[in-house]
Amino acid sequence: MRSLLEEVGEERVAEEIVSIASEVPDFPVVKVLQQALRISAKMRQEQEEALSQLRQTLSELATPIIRIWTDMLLVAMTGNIDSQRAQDIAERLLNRVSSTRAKVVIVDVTGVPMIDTMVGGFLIEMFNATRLLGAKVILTGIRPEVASTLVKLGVDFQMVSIARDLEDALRQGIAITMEEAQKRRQLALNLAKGGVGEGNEGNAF
Amino acid sequence: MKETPSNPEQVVPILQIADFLLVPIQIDLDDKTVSRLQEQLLKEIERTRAKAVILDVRTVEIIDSYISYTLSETAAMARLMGCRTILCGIRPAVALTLAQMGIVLEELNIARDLEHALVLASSS
Repeated sequence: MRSLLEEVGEERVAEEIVSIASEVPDFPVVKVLQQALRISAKMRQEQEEALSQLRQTLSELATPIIRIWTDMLLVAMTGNIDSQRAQDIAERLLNRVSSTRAKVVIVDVTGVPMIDTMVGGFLIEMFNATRLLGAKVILTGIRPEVASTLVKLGVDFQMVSIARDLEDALRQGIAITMEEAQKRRQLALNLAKGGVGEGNEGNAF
Repeated sequence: MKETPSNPEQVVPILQIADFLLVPIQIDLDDKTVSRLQEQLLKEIERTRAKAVILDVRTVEIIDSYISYTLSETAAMARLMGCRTILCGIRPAVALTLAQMGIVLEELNIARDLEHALVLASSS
């Protein structure tokens, strides 16, 4: 009985129950309490599960990763970004880039109201990681107030190309994929001819 | 495609395709192996006079700061010998960890996959 009440942890409730138990001697306090505890624990667990599922869905909804062109992904970021969401977005993006072998990732931050040092640092990390997977990043949608904050904070996105708007980003991305397709054809031709890059031997030897 | 003769001192196999060396790294890298790998690579670059080395790390699950530093160092050495170094097949989790540690691998060219690596190797 005592230990059970300690588990509940509410002194006032405990006092009430003790008084009930002393007034009505044959009231099955222990059994009722045990049952109540079991039910409340179960309810809490269900609630927590639902909550974590909702959180997951929310983060996926808030940051869709869309394939918009051959070998090109679009990450549309909206809303405030905290470190949990940032980590989640980075993981999902990197897995997607790795599985689709995307050449270009366009990151649109039009819907992000504030970019502070934390979000800026997270974006830099994400861009560097994407670069390590061999994809190019094009950043777009930086609004005037965000641009001013970024410069004042000293965050420079030197490792990515910046596009005026989504149209410009798409154009740049297509140019990159076309250029690579061209190079690949050239490589295939050279390999078929039996020598690779015969025109530029000089720099290596 | 020529294969170099197998040798107990070799840490990894090194395959030659045209002017390129292909190095699939399929062992766990630790501090000792990575410096032996560096030595082996430089010798092989000298022997074959390769234009580019392609390191494939698809199966490497852990790349710590020392290993990434040694790889960058190797790339810088190879560059002095007239050879480009291309790293391909970094896992997403490894990429994220490296980025979070602030490592950007300046000396290395990064490729998505082997095909992209060959394209980078041939375009100089």
